[in-house]
Amino acid sequence: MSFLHPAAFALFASAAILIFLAFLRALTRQQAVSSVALWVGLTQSPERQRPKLHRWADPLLLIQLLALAAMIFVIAQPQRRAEQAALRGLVLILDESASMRTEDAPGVSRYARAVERARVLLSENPASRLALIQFSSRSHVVVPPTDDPAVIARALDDLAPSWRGDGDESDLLNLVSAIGGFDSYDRLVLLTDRTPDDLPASISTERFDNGGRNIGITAFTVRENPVGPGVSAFLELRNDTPDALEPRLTLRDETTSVTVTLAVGPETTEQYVSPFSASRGSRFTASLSGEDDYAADNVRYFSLDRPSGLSVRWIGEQNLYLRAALESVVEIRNAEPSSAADLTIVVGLTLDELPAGNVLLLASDVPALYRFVDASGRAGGTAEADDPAHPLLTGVEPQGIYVETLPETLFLVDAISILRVGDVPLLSLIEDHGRLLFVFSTDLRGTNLPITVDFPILVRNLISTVARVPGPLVHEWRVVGEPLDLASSGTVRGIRTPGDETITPEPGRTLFIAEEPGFYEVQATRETRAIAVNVPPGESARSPLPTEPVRSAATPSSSQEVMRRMWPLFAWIALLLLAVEAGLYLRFDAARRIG
Amino acid sequence: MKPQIHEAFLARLSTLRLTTRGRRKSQLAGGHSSRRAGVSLEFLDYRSYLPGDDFRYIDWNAFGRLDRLLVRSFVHESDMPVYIIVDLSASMSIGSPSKADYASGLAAALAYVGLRGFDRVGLYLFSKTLHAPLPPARGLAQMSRIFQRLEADEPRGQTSMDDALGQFVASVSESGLVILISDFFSPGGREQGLDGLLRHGHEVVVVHVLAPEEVEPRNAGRTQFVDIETGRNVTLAVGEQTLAEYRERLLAFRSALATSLRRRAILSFETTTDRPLASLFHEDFRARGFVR
Repeated sequence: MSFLHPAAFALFASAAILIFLAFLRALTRQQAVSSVALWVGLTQSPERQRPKLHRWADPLLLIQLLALAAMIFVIAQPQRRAEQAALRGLVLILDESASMRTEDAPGVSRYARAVERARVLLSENPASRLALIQFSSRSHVVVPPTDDPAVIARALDDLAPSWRGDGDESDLLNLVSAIGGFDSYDRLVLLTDRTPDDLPASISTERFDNGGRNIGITAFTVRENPVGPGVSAFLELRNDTPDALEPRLTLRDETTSVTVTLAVGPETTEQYVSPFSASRGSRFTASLSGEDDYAADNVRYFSLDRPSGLSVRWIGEQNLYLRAALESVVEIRNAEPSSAADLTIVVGLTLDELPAGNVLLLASDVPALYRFVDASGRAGGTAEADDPAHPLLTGVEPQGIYVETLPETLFLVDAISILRVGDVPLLSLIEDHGRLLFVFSTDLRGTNLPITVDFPILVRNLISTVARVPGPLVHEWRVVGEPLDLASSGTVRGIRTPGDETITPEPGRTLFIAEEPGFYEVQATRETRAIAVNVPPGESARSPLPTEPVRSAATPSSSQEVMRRMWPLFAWIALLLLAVEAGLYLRFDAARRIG
Repeated sequence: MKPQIHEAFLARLSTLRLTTRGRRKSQLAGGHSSRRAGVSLEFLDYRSYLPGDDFRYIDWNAFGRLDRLLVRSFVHESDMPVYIIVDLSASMSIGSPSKADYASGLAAALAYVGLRGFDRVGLYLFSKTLHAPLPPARGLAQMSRIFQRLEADEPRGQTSMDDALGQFVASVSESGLVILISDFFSPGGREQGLDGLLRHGHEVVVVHVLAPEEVEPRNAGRTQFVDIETGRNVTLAVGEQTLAEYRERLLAFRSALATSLRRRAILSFETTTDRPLASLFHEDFRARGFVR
């Protein structure tokens, strides 16, 4: 046995003084008598008055001394050598994916429980080689191989779950190989709430999944309404509870919100469409009311690139059909006389000189570029497209467009035929020194366009060529942990995160890893846009419990010498002795006083 | 208190009777000391003939039927209230068994003897004053009441024998046999109380009870002696000399008490708590004619 604080034994010197004094004191008994008058004034025995050394030891004093000795031993911190079975190596693998934030127990996340379990494994499995890995869609080694468990313990103090999705088993295997390989470790423990497929047998799994109640949004996109103002939201809700629920869903953009009540059956996944006609914004948030055990999927984000407005200059009579179609797509502003317009619309005029910028010529001609032949108009028919895949025709069905009469157009410059009736151009596109000229040969009144679904789509496609309006309706969800491609934005000056922190990427770097859900505002030379990032929807799924038992721990392959602290034993001995002494004192004291 | 009394001992007491000396008073008109035939006496019961009984009360008819000598007893003859007064001050708790337990056993035994002899027996417990006295009565029910009263009470408080006996005298109107059981450690004195009893015509018998530890203490070394009633204490380094002086002082106390009682013609007995009651009854009480 050795002692951490041997200086504590100096306290025994004080005990010797106490012993000496205790033996020296004269023992006085107490006795009750019927009448003290019989004793008052009697002759005392001188030899009984002098203090003397007793020949016998008070048993209580002996017990007190033993208790004092035990307490001095506690202070001295004794320890003894012991052989303890040790592992060659231990790797702790913590699942840090977003689902580990689930609070199966009130206020305690699965991740917190996994960390506590990691501490227990660390203390119960002494090993000469220790490592710590975080497992998710971006698995990484937190602590490379070390022989100091305190390093692992400190790292566990600083860990937190991420917002990322599930890890890939192949990444995990690569990491284990990077830290020495499976042969270097007797035990590898994965602490997770899922059951990864195809894990090697040498990795044992401990599950932290008590089920929990969760209802969340697993899909969320927003589309511009093809007809009418605003947008529509498309959602998928997943209810993992045994109850039918009616959560309240709130859709928000920068300025407006709408709340609807949805009905979701027990343990089902349902899809919903929710109109949001008042929306004019571009950053959308869908949030569910109520609390459940996994809050990460109760809020979802979607950014829809929409123009903030279109400035239009009308030359000639405002065509009401065209105006209505424009306003259904985007907010229209009349351009100031002194400022440039996004689009100039010329209706029913002949211009010798075109205004600057992009121009839509509706039943108007520009002799320098083209002219109408046969002003009375030729008999019309159903429209056709030379290139149905042209961006202006995305979502448009030309065969649904009927033109009653239209003039034949003679182009003096190169023009792209978008729509024609027979061989007569109906809608053509001229690229003129960096600007676009849209030539619509006839007045809308001579067509069925105003009453077709294709008209607003056609107008929207037209606007998208002159303003930032997404043409193809492509859903794209970005999830935490995946790289965001910023190359299309130009030179990125800064990225503002959902936490309101501005990050300046390294020059030339075009990829950015989003680590938390929310809107990332990309400030670039070409544009400023928001990118919505969500927690992977797969984290909302409940993974079934494994049918096969958890693999048992490996047999320790070696032993190591450890120093075991013994002070708790001596502390208990001291307490026991003091309790015995107190009990005996009370009994002896009562006996003395009775006499 | 727990009266230390066994059934076998009670069985031996069943043949005993309390006796008195001197004249007795009675409530009956015309006095009771006359035993002439023809006096209007109330018949009570038969009892076995004992040597010394007046043969005029032998019931010859009963002898002819049962072939046993039976004596008729009358209320008048048996009308002798017995007042058993027991000291229950704190000093009576000293000893093992305590003087209080011994005194309660003695009181119960005396009550039994008296009730078996068709006497009216009452119980009076005291410390500084009387504790809820139990007036004299006959019968087994009174025995039960006496036992319950003795078991229920515990020694407490300081002794004031003069006050307690004065209170007793004032509370009873009929003289009788007063049996006083005490250790007589009464700071307030006892002479007046005893004189009061005698003045009211009571016949007094005293039993002085001490604990063997009080008679022969074995203390040694420094001892703090605490008066159990007053709390006053004195610390002494006790040696042989101390004990010798204590014994002398106790002997003087006992002698003074005996002298005081003898001067008043009070029959007294002294005992310690380690002496069996049977021995006390049959060797002391009977030898000196207190019981027969």
